[in-house]
Amino acid sequence: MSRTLIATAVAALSATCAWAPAHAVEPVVKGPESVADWYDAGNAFITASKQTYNNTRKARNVILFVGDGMGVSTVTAARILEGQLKGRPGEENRLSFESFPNVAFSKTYSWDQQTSDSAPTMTAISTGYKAREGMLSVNHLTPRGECSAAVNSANSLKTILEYSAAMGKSTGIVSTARLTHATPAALYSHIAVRDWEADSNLPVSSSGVPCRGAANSVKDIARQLIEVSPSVRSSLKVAIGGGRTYFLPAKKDGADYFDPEYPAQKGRRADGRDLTSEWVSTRGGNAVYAWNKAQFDAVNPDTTAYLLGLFEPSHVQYEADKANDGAGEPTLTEMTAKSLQMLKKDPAGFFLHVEGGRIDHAHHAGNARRALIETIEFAKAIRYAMDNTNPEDTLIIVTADHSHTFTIAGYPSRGNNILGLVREVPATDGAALQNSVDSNGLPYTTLGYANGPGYRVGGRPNLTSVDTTGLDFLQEAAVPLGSETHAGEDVAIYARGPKSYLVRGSMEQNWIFHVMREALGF
Amino acid sequence: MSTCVSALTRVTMLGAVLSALSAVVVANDQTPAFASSPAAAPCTDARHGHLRSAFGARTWDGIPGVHRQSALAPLAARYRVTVTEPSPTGPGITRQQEWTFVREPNRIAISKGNIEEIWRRLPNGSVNLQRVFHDEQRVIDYPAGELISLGIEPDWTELSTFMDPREYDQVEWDATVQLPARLTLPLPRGAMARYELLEWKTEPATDWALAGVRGADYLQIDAADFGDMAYDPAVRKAEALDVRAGWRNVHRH
Repeated sequence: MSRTLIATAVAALSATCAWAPAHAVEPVVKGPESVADWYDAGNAFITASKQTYNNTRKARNVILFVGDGMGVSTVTAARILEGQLKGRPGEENRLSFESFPNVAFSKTYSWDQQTSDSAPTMTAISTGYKAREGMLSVNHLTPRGECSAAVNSANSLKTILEYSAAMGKSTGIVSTARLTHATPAALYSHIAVRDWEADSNLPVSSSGVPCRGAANSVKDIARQLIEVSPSVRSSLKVAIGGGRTYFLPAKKDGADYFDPEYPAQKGRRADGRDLTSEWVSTRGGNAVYAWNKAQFDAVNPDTTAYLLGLFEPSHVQYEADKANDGAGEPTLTEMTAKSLQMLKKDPAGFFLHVEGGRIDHAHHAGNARRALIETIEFAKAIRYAMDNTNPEDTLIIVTADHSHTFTIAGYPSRGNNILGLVREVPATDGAALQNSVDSNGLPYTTLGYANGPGYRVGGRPNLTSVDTTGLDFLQEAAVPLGSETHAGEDVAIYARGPKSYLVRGSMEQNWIFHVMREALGF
Repeated sequence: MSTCVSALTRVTMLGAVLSALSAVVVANDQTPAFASSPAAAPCTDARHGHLRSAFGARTWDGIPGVHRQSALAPLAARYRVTVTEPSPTGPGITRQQEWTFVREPNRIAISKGNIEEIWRRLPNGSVNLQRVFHDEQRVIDYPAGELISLGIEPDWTELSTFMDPREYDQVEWDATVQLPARLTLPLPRGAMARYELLEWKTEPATDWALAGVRGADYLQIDAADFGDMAYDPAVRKAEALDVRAGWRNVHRH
């Protein structure tokens, strides 16, 4: 090397050293990744993707997971919270189902709604047809409030559960909502009004036609679960969730009939029937009804043929509140596990629906933390299913029925508490993190809602010293409503297993049914 | 005067009373007139991140005959409730209702015309609520878990006495029955509410309008389902009462 070159190199080194102090200041916010990690991870993704293939086999089993109200922002926030609960920044985390190879968008409008409720959306998913607001698995020709059994029957749409039963497969339904609530009910009931969950919910008359108690009236939803068609009765091995009082009589033998866990609360049935005992009596000798955790834990899946589990008078407790429940309740993961253990006994295969039903309720309450904890538990239940089924023969679909007005906003720095106040990356490396502020100098949270209970009359509060991560904190909302509403943007569909490659691009929500139909081969 | 009390919204019967008063107004003119009533005072609002103070610092010492954990004697009471609203063109508008209040060891029931509220204390100490709307023929259930998720912490002693008398200046307290004998409350826009204890008995008279008697065949709705049932008039009315009680939404601060 010539003297000139050496001199040049030394000069360059000096110049570099002269810059060194400025570079040596560590950014306050930094991810754990090295520079190479980004490229390596991308490369590993391509390598793995090249090894994927279209599984064209028929599915022996289908599991349909529906996160009620689990929009894309909910998935993102839950992913971050789950990662942060593991002590990581969170953004790099993946919920269990985010590793599925096939993803699509689902358009959730219904026949008559731009932004839909759960009834027509789950009808679309379970029957292949978009339908009307508030109606369960009847077509859009069904008149509103129709209580004629004949009219409801004539307009009925066969569901994926009913097709599976007809194929000789076992079936199951699991939900953290009432089993008679719209999402699970769309799989087994056909009714013009989603609110007719017990016979006492039916009106005395509908447009002048006798309804409640009339011989020609459509059966309430709880009754439809018990009095399903012979093939579904034989096939439906597991039904676990909430909604106990919809199955219990208000009076029995002339006396008030009370809930076993809440003795001041009566059953809701006006017809005097105890549908829980009818489940046991009409399903043969190995049928079980459980209403608390101890009974549920005692159920032996090897020796139990039919299991009805109803753990609360209405919806089961939020995952975040389960520890407070007197009688105890299984988690969604435990319910999913027991169901799979029972259904896997059938050599003909099974169809199982699992709903994370209370994501939706917590969002309606404007309470992000409860919604995200519900979503994390939902992802755990899916993890159990992933670990205990074979992707070669089991199609798993994860989707939502609709979204919520939930947003992740501002420019929070990496690893910023997802439930906390926004703190941007400092403009200067080494500078301390500070709360980002609005036009009035007030800090704000990353999470919020476009409408709902979180609206503050009189202007924005000063959240500087408020624990916005608390379980009961309500995120701010722009429009004052007692309940936050659903949102109309697309939701995601995640799929793995046979025919999952058919989940692609932008899909109408009812096409999910057709993917399952194609996978099952009918 | 109201006090910031805990991380959760403390519920008193007066809160329920004021909610019901709101209902009177809502029923008449759909005006949300009671948003700043004491029970809706925002200082209880940890959910929304407002000021709070320690509930544990408060004590019932000094209130004649009341001990926080002691069971109050069962009784039934009848109240006259008068709401007077000023009118720029006349002497003002006065509305009156008769309410009945029934106190049992684990049940507090109040009938307020066409609306009822029934609180039940469960064996594990948790509390649930039913609101009955006779005009709409609906029963709204607030299970204990739902109240918790709404940030509601019912205080059984205060439910049993209508109110914490230390929190209101203009109250004449009946120490025998541990209920307000007379109470006057200023309301927004110059309105006033006046409560008068007309009579009380150890057992309600047979001709009193009692909560929990009617409604067995009404449609029952879970408060967790409000988000899916905004079309139902009883849901809208219940949400409005919740808001006025400071439970959900639209807090001032």
